[in-house]
Amino acid sequence: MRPPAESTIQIPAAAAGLAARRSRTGWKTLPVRAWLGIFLVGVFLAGAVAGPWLVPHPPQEQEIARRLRPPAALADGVPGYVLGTDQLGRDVLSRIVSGARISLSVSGLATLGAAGVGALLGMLSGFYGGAVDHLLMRIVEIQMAFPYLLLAIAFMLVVPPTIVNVAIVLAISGWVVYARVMRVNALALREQEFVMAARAVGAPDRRILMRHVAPNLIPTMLVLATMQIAQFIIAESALSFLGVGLPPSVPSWGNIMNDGRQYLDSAWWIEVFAGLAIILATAGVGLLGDWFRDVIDPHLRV
Amino acid sequence: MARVLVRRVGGLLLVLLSVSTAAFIVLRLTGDPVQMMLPPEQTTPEQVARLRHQLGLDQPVWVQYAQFLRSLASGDLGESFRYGTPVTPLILQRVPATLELTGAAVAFAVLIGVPLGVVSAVRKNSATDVLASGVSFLGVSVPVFWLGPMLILFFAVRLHWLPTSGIGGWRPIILPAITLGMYPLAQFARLVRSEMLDVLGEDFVRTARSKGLSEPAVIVRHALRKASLSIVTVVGLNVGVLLGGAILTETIFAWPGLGRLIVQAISFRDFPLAEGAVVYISLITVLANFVVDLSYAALDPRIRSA
Repeated sequence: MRPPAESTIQIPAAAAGLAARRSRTGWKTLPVRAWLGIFLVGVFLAGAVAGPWLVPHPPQEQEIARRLRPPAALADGVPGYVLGTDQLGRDVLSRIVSGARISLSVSGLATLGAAGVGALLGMLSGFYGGAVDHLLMRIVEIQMAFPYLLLAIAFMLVVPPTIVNVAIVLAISGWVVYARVMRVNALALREQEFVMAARAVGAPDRRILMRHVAPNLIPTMLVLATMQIAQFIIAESALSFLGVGLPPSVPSWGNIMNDGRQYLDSAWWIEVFAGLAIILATAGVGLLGDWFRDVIDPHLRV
Repeated sequence: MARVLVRRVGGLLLVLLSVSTAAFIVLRLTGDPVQMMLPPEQTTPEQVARLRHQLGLDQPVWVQYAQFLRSLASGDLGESFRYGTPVTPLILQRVPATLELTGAAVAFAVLIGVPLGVVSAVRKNSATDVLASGVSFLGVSVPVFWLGPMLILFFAVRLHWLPTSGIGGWRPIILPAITLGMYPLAQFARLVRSEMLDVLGEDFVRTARSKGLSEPAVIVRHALRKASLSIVTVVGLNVGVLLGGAILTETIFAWPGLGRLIVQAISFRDFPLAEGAVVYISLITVLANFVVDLSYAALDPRIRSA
C-alpha cells in the first residue's frame, strides 16, 4: 500500500529531514519575516502578560470630562492619552493592551481545545480505520457544510458569555481541520516500515501510537495550531461584532471595536487602533505560522 | 459514472439531513420563541398557551422533529414564526442578493489577486514581490468587520464617492464586494505565487518556451492553467468561509441577503426560518464543492478518464 496522495508527511525520513532543516535554520539565517513575526508576537505576549503593570491608566477608569478626545499628538488631545479616549473617557491604549490578555487567552485556549480533540480523533481514526473512521469523516463533512459562524452564534445564545465558553465555542468550530489532516497523516504513517517493525516485535497499539505515530504528527499540528490562533483572534471579535461575544463591559478587542464603530465618524481612533491591534497580532502569528510551515511541512495546504 | 453520481447525491442528502437535524436541535436549545414574541408583563398564560399551540410548540420535541422531517421531505420548510408566511419564498427572495455579493467578491479577488500572484512569482524577490506579498499578508489579517466600516468612513462618509448601503446598480455593491473579497484576494495572491514558482521550473514550461512561445503565452496558457487547479480547490474549500464573511458583510452594509436574514431569524428564535436558511446555505456549500469536483475534469485532462 502506498500512502494517500494528499498526505503531507515526507517519509522515509521525516524526522531526519526535520533535524537537518533545523540545523540549517540557525538564528543568523532566520528570514526577515520570521523575525517580524517573533517581534510582533513578542510585543503582544508581553502586553498580555505584563499588561496591568504596563498600562498608563486603569482600563476601566472613566472621566466624562475628557470623553472622545483624539490621540495626544493631535490638536485637542489630552497629554498622557497616547491613542485618545473613548466615549466614557477611558484610555484607548490601556484598553487595547488589556484586551491583548483577553483576546489571546480566548484564542489560545480555543486552539488548545481544538487541536487536542481534533488531532486525537484524527490520529485514532486514521490509524484504526474502519467504521469509526467512516463515522468521523461523515461528521467532519457535515460540520464543514454547516457555516461555523452560525453554529457559534447559536451556541453563544445558549451558554453564558464567559472566556471559557467563547473558547469552547470556537474550539467546536475549529477541531475538524486537525481531524482531517491528522487522519491522512496517521494513515500514511501506519504503512511505514518503522511502524511495521514496531508491530513485528510485538509492540502494543498504545505504544506504537504514543512512541511512533504521535511524535511524527506534532510538527504539522504545531503549524496548523499557529495558523488557527490567528483565525480565532478574528473570530472572537466577530462574535462580539454580532453581539454574542463576551459582555460589552469586558475590554476584548472585539468589544473595543464595537464601541469604536458607533463613534466612527466623530472619533475614528477607537476603531482604527483596535483594528490595528487585531491586524498586527493576526499578522504576527500568521508570519510565525508561515515560517513554521516552510521549515516543517512545506507541502501542507490548509 | 452513474454509480458515482448516485453515491454523491446520497452523500449530499445525508449531509443535508444531518445539518438540518443539527440546526433543529441547536436552535431549540437557544430558548423559547414565545417569550420573544409576547412581552411577559402584558400577556395572560392563556395567550401564551394559545400561541404555543398555534406554532406547534406544545407538542413533545420528537413529535415536532417528526413533523419537521415530514415537511422537509416534501420540500416544505414551514411558516416563519415572525412573518407568518411560508419560509421558502422568504429565503429564495434573499438568495440572489447573497449570490450577487459573493460573486462580485470572488470576481474582485480573482481579477486582482491572480495577477498579483503571477507578477510576484515572475519577479521573485523584487520590490514588487515584497510589496505584493506584504499586501496579501495584511489582506488575510484584516477582519471584515473592520475593513467594511473603514471603507464606509473614507469612500462614503468623507469622500461621498459611494453610498454607505443600499442595493441596485453597480455603485452600492463596490464597497461590500471589496470588503468580502479582500481575504480571498490575499489568499489567491499567495497561492498563485507559490504555485507559479513550482510550475515555472517544470519541463512543460521549458518546452513551451523552447518552441518559441512568447513569455505571456507561456505564463497564461501553460503555467497558469496548471496553477488554476489549486485555485479552484481553494475556492471550493472556502465557500463556507466566504458565506460566513457574507453574513458579516451583509450586516455591515445592510445588504438584503441570506446572511442578514439568518442572523435576524436566530436572534428572534424564528425556528422555521433559521432552519430553512441553514439548509439553503449548506446546500449552496455542498453544491459548490460538487461543482469544484466537476471542474477538475475541465481543467486537468488526466482526470477526465478516471
